[in-house]
Amino acid sequence: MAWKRVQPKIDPNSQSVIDPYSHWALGPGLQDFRLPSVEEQSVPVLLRRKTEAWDEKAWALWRNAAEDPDMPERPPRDAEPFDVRFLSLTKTRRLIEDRKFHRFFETLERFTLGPPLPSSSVVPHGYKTARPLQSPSPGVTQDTVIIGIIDDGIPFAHERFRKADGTTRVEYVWVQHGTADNVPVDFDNGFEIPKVDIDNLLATCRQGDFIDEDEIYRRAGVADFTLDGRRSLAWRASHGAHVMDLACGWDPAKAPDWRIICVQLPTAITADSSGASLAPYAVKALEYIRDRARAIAGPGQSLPVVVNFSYGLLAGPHDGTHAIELDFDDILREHNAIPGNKPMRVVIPSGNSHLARAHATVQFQAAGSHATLPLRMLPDDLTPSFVEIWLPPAAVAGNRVELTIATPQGDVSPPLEENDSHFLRYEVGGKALCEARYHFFPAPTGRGMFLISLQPTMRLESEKSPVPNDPVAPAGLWNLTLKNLGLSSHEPIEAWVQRDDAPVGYPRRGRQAYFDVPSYEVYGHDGRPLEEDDPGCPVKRAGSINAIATGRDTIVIGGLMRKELRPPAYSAGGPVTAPAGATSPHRSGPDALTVSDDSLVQSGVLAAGTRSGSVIAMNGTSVAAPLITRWIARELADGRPGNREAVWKLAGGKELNLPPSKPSPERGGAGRAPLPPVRPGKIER
Amino acid sequence: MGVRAAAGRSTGVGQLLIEREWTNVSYLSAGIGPLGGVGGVGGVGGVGGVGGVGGVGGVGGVGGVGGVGGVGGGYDSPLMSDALIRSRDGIVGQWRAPAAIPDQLDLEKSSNLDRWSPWVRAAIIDAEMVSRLGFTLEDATMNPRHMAVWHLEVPAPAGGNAPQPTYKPLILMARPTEDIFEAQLTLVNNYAELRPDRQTEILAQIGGGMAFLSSIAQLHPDRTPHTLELLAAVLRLALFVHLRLKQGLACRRPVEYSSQIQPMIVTPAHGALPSGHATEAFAAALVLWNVMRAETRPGYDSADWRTQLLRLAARIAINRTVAGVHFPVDSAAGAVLGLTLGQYFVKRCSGAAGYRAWRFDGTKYPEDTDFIWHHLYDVTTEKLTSMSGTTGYSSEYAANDQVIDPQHKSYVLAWLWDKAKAEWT
Repeated sequence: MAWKRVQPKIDPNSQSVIDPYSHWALGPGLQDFRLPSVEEQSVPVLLRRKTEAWDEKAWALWRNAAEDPDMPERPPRDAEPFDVRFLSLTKTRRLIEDRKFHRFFETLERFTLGPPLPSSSVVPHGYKTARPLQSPSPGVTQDTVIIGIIDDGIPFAHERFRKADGTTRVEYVWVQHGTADNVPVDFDNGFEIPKVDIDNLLATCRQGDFIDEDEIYRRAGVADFTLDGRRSLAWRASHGAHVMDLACGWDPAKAPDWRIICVQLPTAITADSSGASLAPYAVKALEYIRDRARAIAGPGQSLPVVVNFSYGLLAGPHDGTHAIELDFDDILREHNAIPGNKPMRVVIPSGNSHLARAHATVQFQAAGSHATLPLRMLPDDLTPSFVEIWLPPAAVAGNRVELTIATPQGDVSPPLEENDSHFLRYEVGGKALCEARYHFFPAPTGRGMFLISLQPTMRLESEKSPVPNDPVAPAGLWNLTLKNLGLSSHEPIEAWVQRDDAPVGYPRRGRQAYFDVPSYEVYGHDGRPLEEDDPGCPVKRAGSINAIATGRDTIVIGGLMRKELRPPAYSAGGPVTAPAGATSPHRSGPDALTVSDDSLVQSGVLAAGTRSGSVIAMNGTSVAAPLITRWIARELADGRPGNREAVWKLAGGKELNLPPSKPSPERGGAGRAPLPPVRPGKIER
Repeated sequence: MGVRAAAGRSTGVGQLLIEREWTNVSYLSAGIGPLGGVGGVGGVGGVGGVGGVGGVGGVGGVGGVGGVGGVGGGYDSPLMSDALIRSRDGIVGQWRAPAAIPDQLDLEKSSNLDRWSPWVRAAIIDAEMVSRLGFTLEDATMNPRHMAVWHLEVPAPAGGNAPQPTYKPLILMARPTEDIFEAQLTLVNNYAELRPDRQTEILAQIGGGMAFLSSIAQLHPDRTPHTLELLAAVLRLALFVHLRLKQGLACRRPVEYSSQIQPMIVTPAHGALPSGHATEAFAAALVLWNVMRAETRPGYDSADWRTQLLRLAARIAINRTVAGVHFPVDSAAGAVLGLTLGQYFVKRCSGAAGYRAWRFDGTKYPEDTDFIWHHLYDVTTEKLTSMSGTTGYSSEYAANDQVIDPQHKSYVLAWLWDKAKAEWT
């Protein structure tokens, strides 16, 4: 039972661009990263290049690694400096570990792994058919707007997305998992359901005059109980149904020409809390919506697009340089910079973790002083847990701070230094229970981070064994102690526990670890949860904003209670960290707040369940974001910009007529924008 | 119990409780079948005792029944009987012969049914139904061996001779192979995903789905007492037949195949196939839409009503798979059985010339096939779909209807049918 300092086998330069979670995912965390009981698995790899154009030698190595004869010899000319490709687990490992690929990694800025899919969901290499797209779609006018939805449980046959004539407004659905038998052109996984197929299902899946939505989703392969995987559309309510109704649902008789492009993220990804990144899937989803929107518009034409992406993470750089943020910003900027293009916008929620105790700030007053963050690891956590401790930018590389870790049993690690070339491993019986490593993220992040990775605290079984034989970390307090060697009091260290929670309707597997410091007051004297921070406590509610919601061009929305006109306790906000080299951050928190709850008592807002005619209440910043998406769609239809500034103006204007108190810019951005409900109740709830 | 309640509190409460005791105790198995609680006896307490239980609100229904029950119930109270004794003693006077007596009632006359308590009629109706059914297992020369349910026609005997019944096929059912059940187990596991979503429905439907039927059609003990009696009758018919078939076909439940099914409710102590919930729900649905439209009120004949009732029946059946107590093939068998029995019941009640006999051969059920109700039944033509080929597990027994000899029409069933349909104007 001992802590060890370990020298990584990987080339140090390559290592700096590889997402540090990958080392855990392909190492001690492999059993949690892999899909259980799936023989052949494919891992999506998201590459982000330093330059827009491919380096020829790097391309050659990439071809070599992929072993794909259909990849062209000459590198393709991509519009953006990133690319996603599926590789087998073996090839992924070889790429990372074989030093001959270092030249390839030298040309990269980021290399991020997503959770695997069964290989049956991924096209065999090089699959690019020239299936003609149905383009442009008939009847596109000046008033046509495209709404993109990236979510889980997307009810594409629902009446709220139909026209008066009974056909659907959904132009395309991309299901990112499932059998790869109708893979969308130019993409590598899952299957596509075009409008013509949905209309055909709506016409044929009937008994008498009744449309049978159970049958539609069964035939479409998204709610078929003979198939594996989760069936979010077999449930009464789904995240995607609620969000999509708020974003673009209409009574068919009143529906404007709002056309919809949906992406169903792989359900395993939605459920995943293994620390693997959803970035490869999210980035491809946004590209898909952009590409299909262009196809619908037709050559030389453009349609305005607004995309809702109601997902979130807790830990990340929080300065706009998360892989998803960088790539989303690139896609938006590239699209919006092309003359003649109508605007494209993305809306993201600010997150629900204001009270999660998953964020801490350490500011040292003197060299040599210590600060301890006690990490409460809960029992019965079936998934790994991660903590990111971010250091401020350094003028010169040095060792300004070091980390030691004490296990609940009191085993104290040797120090892990800033810029340490070794990593720490805590082993019991030859198996790693915990690893901690320093990772420097090159530009544009330009900052270092300690990543602490911990095994689940509970296991039920292991692959091919009914008795768990994979390592388990002890639950309890893991003390993370930082020692100051050279940081000034103006250079805060920011720590976040990574998200480890089940999404709506999914069985809980992970349990959210948190910083458990005695000075943190959960409740106020009135017995209600405190929403404001104590300056003396290192654990901060402030700064709990969704870690993919700090980008420059995305529109970020927090929650609001319609009756009380203040944010619900869970609605997370900034501050946001200033990017390296900048004097101030490009945003303070969300851009604005809109309704996520009718009131403190009547939590949630009303919107569609999965089946036509059903209405349910759901809350969270996830349901506030699509209300703004809907508002932006109207703005875009009327030829207005519908950008961040427009949202600020909207909120600013509304604030003039609202009673106090306007939330802080960190929590509430430009202010409260109580937009009208999408499903107005005939009587008050 | 009823007595104390009646004496101590309002009469309504006590009467209702007595009614429920009858439901539970005094009559055979009525009320214990999955959907059965419903009408149990007599339809009076009806519909899962809608207002039932507490009697608190009284739910209208109580009152009506109450009058009767009240009088009847009063007699077994020591207080009341003592009072009645004293009361008679006080006024009886000298014994005299009656001035006039009534004529005797006619033998075997349908109008006499009006005179009896609903639970008495229930026994009569059951005797009428069950005495005309036969159950056999095909011998070992047949592969697979079907359990056969026969319709009996019993002619009026001449003189003192015993009658010679004629047997006509109603439904034949063979169980699936072990391999099919094993493959179906994966589906049961997949459906377990929906347990949190369906929990309330599953629990509310343990005793039956009558409250769910009454969410579509307006069933109420005051407004539709005879329809409830009719539905209770078909539910008991379904109960007798599916339990007899379960005994014959002896199919193990999912929980016996895997330690990981872990049903969310207790697995009933009877066989898996055919599903009783499916049989009863589909039979009740079919009878309900047929009686609703029998008086030709506009609207009830549209496919909308029967579609919705069939969707509901399918959901009740599927919920049992979600709960982990049934394979999808059990629901398919139950749906075919319920729709066959429902149709047979309607034909017999309404005096039709014949009914359609059916066959369910579980050995032909494709292993990984889910239960999809509209693969089995066409809501437009109102016919079970006859499948053919190696996977034709549901097929007609013969191309023509089995003829019901007009002389064997049941006046008991006709009486009930006519009373019930008059409630749907």
